[in-house]
Order: sequence, then C-alpha cells, then structure tokens
Amino acid sequence: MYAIETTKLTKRYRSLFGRDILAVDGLDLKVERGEIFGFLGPNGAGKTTTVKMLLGIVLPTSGSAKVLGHDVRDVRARENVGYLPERQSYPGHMTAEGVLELFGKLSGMEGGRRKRRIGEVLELVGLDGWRKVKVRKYSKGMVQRLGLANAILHDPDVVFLDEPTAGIDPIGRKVVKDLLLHLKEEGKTIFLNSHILSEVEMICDRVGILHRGRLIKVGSVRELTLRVEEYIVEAENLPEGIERDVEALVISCAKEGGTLRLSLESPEDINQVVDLLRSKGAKVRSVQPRRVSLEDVFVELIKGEA
Amino acid sequence: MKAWAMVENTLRESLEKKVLVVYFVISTLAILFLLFGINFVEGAGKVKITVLGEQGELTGAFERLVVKVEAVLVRLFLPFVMLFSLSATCGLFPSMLSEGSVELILSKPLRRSTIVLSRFAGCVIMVFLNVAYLVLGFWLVLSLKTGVYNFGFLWSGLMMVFIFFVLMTVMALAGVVSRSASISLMSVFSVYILSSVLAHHRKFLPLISEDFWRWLVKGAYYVLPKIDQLSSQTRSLVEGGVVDNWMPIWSSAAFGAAVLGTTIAIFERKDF
Repeated sequence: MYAIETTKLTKRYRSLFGRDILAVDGLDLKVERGEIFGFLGPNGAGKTTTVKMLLGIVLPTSGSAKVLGHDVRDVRARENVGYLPERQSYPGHMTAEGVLELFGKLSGMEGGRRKRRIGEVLELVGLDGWRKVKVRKYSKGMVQRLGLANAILHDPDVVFLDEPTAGIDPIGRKVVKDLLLHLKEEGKTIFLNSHILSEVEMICDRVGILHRGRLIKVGSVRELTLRVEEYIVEAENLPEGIERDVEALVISCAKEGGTLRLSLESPEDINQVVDLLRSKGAKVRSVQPRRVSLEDVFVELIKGEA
Repeated sequence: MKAWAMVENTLRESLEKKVLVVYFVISTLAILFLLFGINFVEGAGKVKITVLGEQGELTGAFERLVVKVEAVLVRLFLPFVMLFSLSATCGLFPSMLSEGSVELILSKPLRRSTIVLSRFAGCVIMVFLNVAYLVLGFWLVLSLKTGVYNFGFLWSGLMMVFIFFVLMTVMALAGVVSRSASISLMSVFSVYILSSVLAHHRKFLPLISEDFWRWLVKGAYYVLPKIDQLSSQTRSLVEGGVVDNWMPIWSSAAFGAAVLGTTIAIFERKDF
C-alpha cells in the first residue's frame, strides 16, 4: 500500500462566466511510505490544489486519490495525516497551547496523550517558552512553527507541508529543516511543496515537477540531477591539443587545465575516451558524470515545456 | 468528542471576542432596569405601575395585570433579543471559514456535516445561555417583586431560542456561501423583515391584481418562517394560553431544517 496514490486526478475550476481553469490535469503519482517527496512547480502549477485534494479540502473533478489506502473522500483518509497549509490563520486570542488543544481534540487525541504531545511538539519547534502567550503576539516565523507543531501533534504517518519555510528567517528555516530530518528518521512520509529547491535537494528522496497541472518529471534527486551523457574527466599529463582527438569520439569536449568536460552521445563512449587518453600517456585520476543542481533541472524543464 | 470540541471552540471564541460578555452585560442591564425601574403597587382594585418614576394606573385583578405586563415585556424584548443574538453570532461562521482556518479544520478527520452542525449548535447554545439568563432573571425579579409566579413566562425563553434557531439557519447558509459576516446579517434581516411584512399578506393581497404576484406573495408567506405569528404565540403562552395553531411552528421548523440541509449540502461540495 502506498502512502499516497493518485490516478488521473483532475481538478477543473469553473468560473461563473464559463471560463474553465484546469488546475490539475490527470495526475498519476505514487509516494511510498517513509519517503520524503518534494513537489515542485512554478506558481499556479497546481501544487497546492493537489495537496488540498489529497486532504479533502478541494474536491477532485475526476480521477481518484488515496491516502494510506483510503479514498480522499473518506474521513479515514485524514485520520493519520498532518497538514501545514501555505497560509494559516489561528484565532489571535488563543495561545499556542489552546490551538494545539483544539486541533488535538479534532484529531481525536485523548486527554493524557494530548497534553504530553503538546509539550513535546512545542519543545521540538522551540516554542515551549511561548505556550501561554496569545498567538496575536507571535511573529510570522513563530506562527509557522506553531503550524508545524500542529501538523505533527497527533504523530501522523503522512505529513503534508505546503511551503514550510516561506517567509521565515534562517533560524526558523533551520528549525524546519531539523524537524524534517527528525521526521525522516522516524520513518514518516512527507509530502513537501516548496520553492526552495536547495532544501528540497538536500532533504527529499524523490521529486515530482508539476507544470500547468501536469506532472512533467518524477524521479529521485540523483536521477534528476545526474547528467549521464556529460562527464568530467580529471587526468594528469594531458597532452596539448588532446581535445581535438577526443572530439572525434564525442559530441563536444572542453579542456580546463587537467580537466576535460565531455558531452557524449551514449554513456558507453566514455570507455573509448579513457582508452584514447591512456594511449596518449595521460594518467586518468577520475571519471564522473556531471551533476547539475535541482534548480538547473527545474528551470530547464519548465523552459522546455514553455 | 470532535464535534464537542467544535462546539466548545465556538463558545470560547464568543467569550474571547467579548460577544458573550457584552451580551451578558446588556442582559444584566435589562434585568437591573426591571429590578429598579419598574414597581407594582396593589390597592383598591387598582394597580399602580411606576416606570422610572412615571406612574400609571391599571384596573383589574393584580395577578392578571402582572401577567399582561410580562406579555408586553416579552413582545417588546423579543426583537431586541433577536437583534443582539443575530449580531453576536453573525461572524462565527465566516470566521471559521476564513482562509487559513478552514483548511486546518477540513484536514481533520471530521465530516463536513459535523463541522456545520457543531458550529451551528455552538451558536444556538451561546444564545440559549444568554436568553436563559435574561428570561430567568426577568422572571425571578418580577416574581419576587409581585409575588406572582407565572411559569408561562418561561416559555418565552424557549420560543426565543426556537425563533433564533430558525433565523440562524439563514445566517449559516449566507455565511457558508459568502464567508462574510455583513452579508450574513443582511440576509437574515431581509428574511426577518420580509416575514414580518408577509404576516400581514391578507391585508394587502387584494391590492395585487396579477395572479402571478399573488401566488408569489402567498408562496413566500408559506415558505418563510412566521416570526410575527411566533411572537404572538409567545405572548399568548406567557399569558397562560395554549398553542392553538401549530402551523407557524412546524412551517418555521421545516424552513429551518430545509435551509440547514441546503447549507450542509453546499458545504459538502464547496472547495476551499
């Protein structure tokens, strides 16, 4: 059983004047249990709508979605799920403790466990000293941390986080990152919507890229960032003009000191290059596929789609 | 437990927003007005009533006159109780449905119908507590002052809560559709005023010549709650009468049930 599974999930918003907006278009997605899945996409790509459909906040137009084996229309799909929305608003008159009391009860937590967990999660997000302070006195970062505490209060198996670090300072970000790593260690499934690609790259096991409601790429961070057709060869004693000989075997070759940057037609071509370098007296120190950042991949894919 | 948590939260929200407190203060002032502002003196087949120092005389049996005064008080206070109750609760649905708040509630394992019904119940309980305080306070002051213990007066509390219940359904529907406190309040007052006007439809129906409009007015009369008649019945109950026509009660209850059902149906299908 997958933690999250969608089949042809579609959301079409209909306006009063007959203009349709296709927010999510036939999304097929599977997220394994214990996985940290990064959900990326430019603004308006349909990320938040997808999360809201998975939580029953927005109703799908067609297709199906399951969370922990339950259809998202079923209340049971939300029993073991935590959620940090992109925008959250708590009644200003409530304290952090009051907020967590309320949502703990709404999650069905019993009194003793609820009290204990409230203490634990507030400490985890660094708000234990603020538990009796009214939320209206909190900074944006503190509200975000309270939201995180709320999302994990009932110790859910799946946590949906929509832009968890948006608008918070570096210290707040560190708290969020540490918390995500802590949840990862505990084997929780995390579905992370984020614009901060460096964080996604660092934390996520797999990434899906959504554009105009369609999933255009999905794979592990390594798969997406590895360029198997591009290699960097480090070698000693590279003879002058070697790049011209290498270029006969590859698409392109650039030499920078003791390094050759190669673009190949096929990954297998690298063997011929190494053989050639050795035959010319060069000592090959390392051969590595070139890695690009997730940001590069993201921009490349979105530009390609555009 | 989850539904009760929603009810509890509604009451807490009213308390924290000072709505309950202000309502309580106004009710207390009304009770104090009755306690110190009105006096009854019986003598020689006449009853002298003093209202803020101004004296008036009524002829008749003392007990009967006290009951009459109570009925007038109920008739006078009922619109104010509705006004305060509706104003006090008009923001509770929109605040729950505000952006950033509704998502958190909907992501919890609660049926959408439970969310609407528990919020609704919270509003009704809040008004019930206030009305109970006001009516019991009135009854106690009048009973102790006059020695006339008219238990029929207590019916007025239940009737006021019933009328509020029916009107609250309109506010819940408007709140769910518009997520605006002012639109909710405007909607419910429109229904209140229209229903009061339609209560006199027999008087102005002969003035309407076209069948379509006559049919529409009659239809609206039967569909909308009968606030005016419910107020008259409340007065009658205070005076020791009985409900001789159940139509205003059941038709208003049916209106309330239909509107609440519609509210739930819309909420079940609404995207947030």
